Amino acid sequence: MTIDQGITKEQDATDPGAAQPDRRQRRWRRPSVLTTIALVLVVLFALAALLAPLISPYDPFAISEAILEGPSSAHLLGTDDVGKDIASQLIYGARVSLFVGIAAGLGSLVIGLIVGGIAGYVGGAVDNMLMRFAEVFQIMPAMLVALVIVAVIGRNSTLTALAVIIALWPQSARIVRSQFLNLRTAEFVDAARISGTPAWRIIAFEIFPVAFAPAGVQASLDVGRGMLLEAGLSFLGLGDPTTSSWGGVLRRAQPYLSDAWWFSVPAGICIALMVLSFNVIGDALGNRGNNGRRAL
Amino acid sequence: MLSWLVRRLAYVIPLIWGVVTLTFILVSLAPGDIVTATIGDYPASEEYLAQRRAELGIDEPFPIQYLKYLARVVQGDLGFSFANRQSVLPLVIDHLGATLILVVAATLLAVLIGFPVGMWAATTRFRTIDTTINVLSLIAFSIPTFWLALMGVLVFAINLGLLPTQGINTIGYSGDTFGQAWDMFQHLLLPAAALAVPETALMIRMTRASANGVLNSGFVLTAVSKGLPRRQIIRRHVTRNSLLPVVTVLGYTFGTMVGGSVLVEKVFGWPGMGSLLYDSVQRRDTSVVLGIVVVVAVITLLVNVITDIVYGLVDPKVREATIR
Repeated sequence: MTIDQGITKEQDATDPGAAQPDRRQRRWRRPSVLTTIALVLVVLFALAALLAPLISPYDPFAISEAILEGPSSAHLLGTDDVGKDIASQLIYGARVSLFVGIAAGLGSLVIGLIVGGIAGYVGGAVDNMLMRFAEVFQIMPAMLVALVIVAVIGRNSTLTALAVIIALWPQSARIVRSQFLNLRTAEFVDAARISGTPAWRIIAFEIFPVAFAPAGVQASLDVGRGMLLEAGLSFLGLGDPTTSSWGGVLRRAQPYLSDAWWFSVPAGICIALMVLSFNVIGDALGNRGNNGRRAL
Repeated sequence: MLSWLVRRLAYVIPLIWGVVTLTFILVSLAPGDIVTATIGDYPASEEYLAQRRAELGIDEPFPIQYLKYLARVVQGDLGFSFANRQSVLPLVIDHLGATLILVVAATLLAVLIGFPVGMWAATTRFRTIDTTINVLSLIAFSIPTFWLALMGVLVFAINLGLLPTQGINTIGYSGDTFGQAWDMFQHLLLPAAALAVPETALMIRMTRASANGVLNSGFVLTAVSKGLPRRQIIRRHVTRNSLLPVVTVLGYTFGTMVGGSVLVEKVFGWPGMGSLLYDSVQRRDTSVVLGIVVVVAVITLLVNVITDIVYGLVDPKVREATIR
C-alpha cells in the first residue's frame, strides 16, 4: 500500500502462482526510498550503540562545570542541568532503546510463534484456553502492565525488556494462531498430510514458512512499541538508573523546557526516528504482495 | 438477542477474574511490603513489624490472602489505600473522571480527524496524496506522546503563551459555570491533542484498510456497473461499510489511551488515574495499583461489550460470528 505498490501491480495480476510459498520467496523487490532510509538509520543507531565507548566524546555520567550550555564545538548538543554532555548521553541511550526494542520484537515473536502455533494447530479446548489467557493480557493496557512489573520487581534494563515482552506478546500470538488456523486446512497441507508427512514436518516445513512472514511484520512493529514503552517508563523514572536512556534525558529536561531546547528536542527526535524506522520497515514487509484490484 | 447478550457478559467475567489474579500475583512478587515501605530505615522491632502485618492482614499465607482479596473484589471492595487513608474504589473513581474527560476528548479528536482523512486516503485517485497521508500517519504513530506533550508545552504555553501547562483548571479561579468550562477546555486542549496524535494515526490506517477492503467488494463493483456516480458510491456504500470495523477498534484503543494518559498526565499534572497510579507506585501503595488495573480492565471490557452490542444490533452477521 505504500510507495512500492505500483511496481508489482502488473506482476501480481499476471502471476497466478503467487500464492504458492516457494514462488513467493523468489520475488524479492527492491525496497523503496523510505525503507532504505529507515534501514540506514537503524544501522547507524546500531553502530552508535555498539561503539558508544569509542565514539561518545565524554563519559555520559561525567558531571562538569558547564551547566545548561548550548551547543558548541566542545559539546555538540550542549550540556544538561548538571553539566553532563547530552550527545554522549544520547549515544549511550541508543543501547537501552535498541536492546529493549529488539528484545521486545524477538521475545514476542518467539512466544507468539509457540503459543499461537500450538493454539492454531491443536485447536479446540487448548486454543480456547490459550487465547483467553492472551486476552487477559490484552485487556490490560501494555503501558500499565509494563509499569506495574517494573515498579514492583525492580529497575534494570533486562527487567524492562521482560516487562515489555509480557505486555506485547498476545498480538503476535493472535496473528500466528490465525495463520495456523487457516493453513491447517490449506490444500498443500492436506496434501502433505495425506502423503504421510509427520506432524512436526508439516509444522516446520509447510506451515511455518508461510506463517512466519506476518509474524515478522508484527515483530518489527513490536520493536517500535517496545522502544516507546521503554522511553515512557524511563520518562516516569522507572528506567535503569545505571544507564542513560532517551526517556530519562527527557525526564530531567522537563523543568528546563524554556531554558534549553537542546536538552529536550534531540532526545525526542532520537526516539521518534528509531520507532519510525522500525514501523516503516514493518510496513514495507507487510505490504509485499498484497494488492487487490478494485473497481473504483 | 437476549441470550446472546447474556453469553457475551458471561464471557467477560472469567476475563476479569484473570486480570485480578494476574495483577495480584504480579504485585505480590514485590520485594518488601507496605510495612517496610512506610517505616523505611527506622529501626523497628520484629514484634512491632509482625503486629502491623497482622493488623493489615498481610501475614497470612499467599493463597489465603488471594482468596480473601477475590472475595472482597466480588463485593466491590478493592481494599484500603494506606497512603491516602481512604478506600481504594472511591479514590480511583475520584480520579477516573479527569482521565475519562481526557480520553474521551482525545478519542473524539482521533475519530473526527482520522476517519475523514483515512477515507480520503483510500478513495483518492492521486497516489501521492495516499502516500503522503500514509507516511504522515506512520510518523504520527511513532512520536512518543510525552515528548509531543513537552513540545506542545514549549511551543503553545511557553513561547506563545496561549495555553496553561499544569492541572485541570486555574487554581483559585472563580467564575460562572461557562467560565469554568472554558477554563477547563483551555487546560484540556494540549493534553488531549498530545494523546490524540498516535490514536488519529491509528484511526487513519484502520479506516484506510477497512475502506480498501470495502472498495474491493462485489457490491461496489455492482454499483460501478450500474453507473452510479462516484461520489454517491463512496458516500452511500463505502463510507457506511467502512465505519463499522473502525467503531469496534475504539473499544480496544480505550485501554491503550488510558495507558498513554499515564505519561501525558505526568507532563501536565492532570489529576487523573495516571497521576494516581504514578504516585501509588512511588509510595508502594499496592492496593491502589491493583485497584487501578482492575478498574481499567473492567471499563475496557465494558466499552468492548457496548461496542459489540451496538455492532450486533446493527449487523446480524456479526452477532452470529461473535458467538463462540
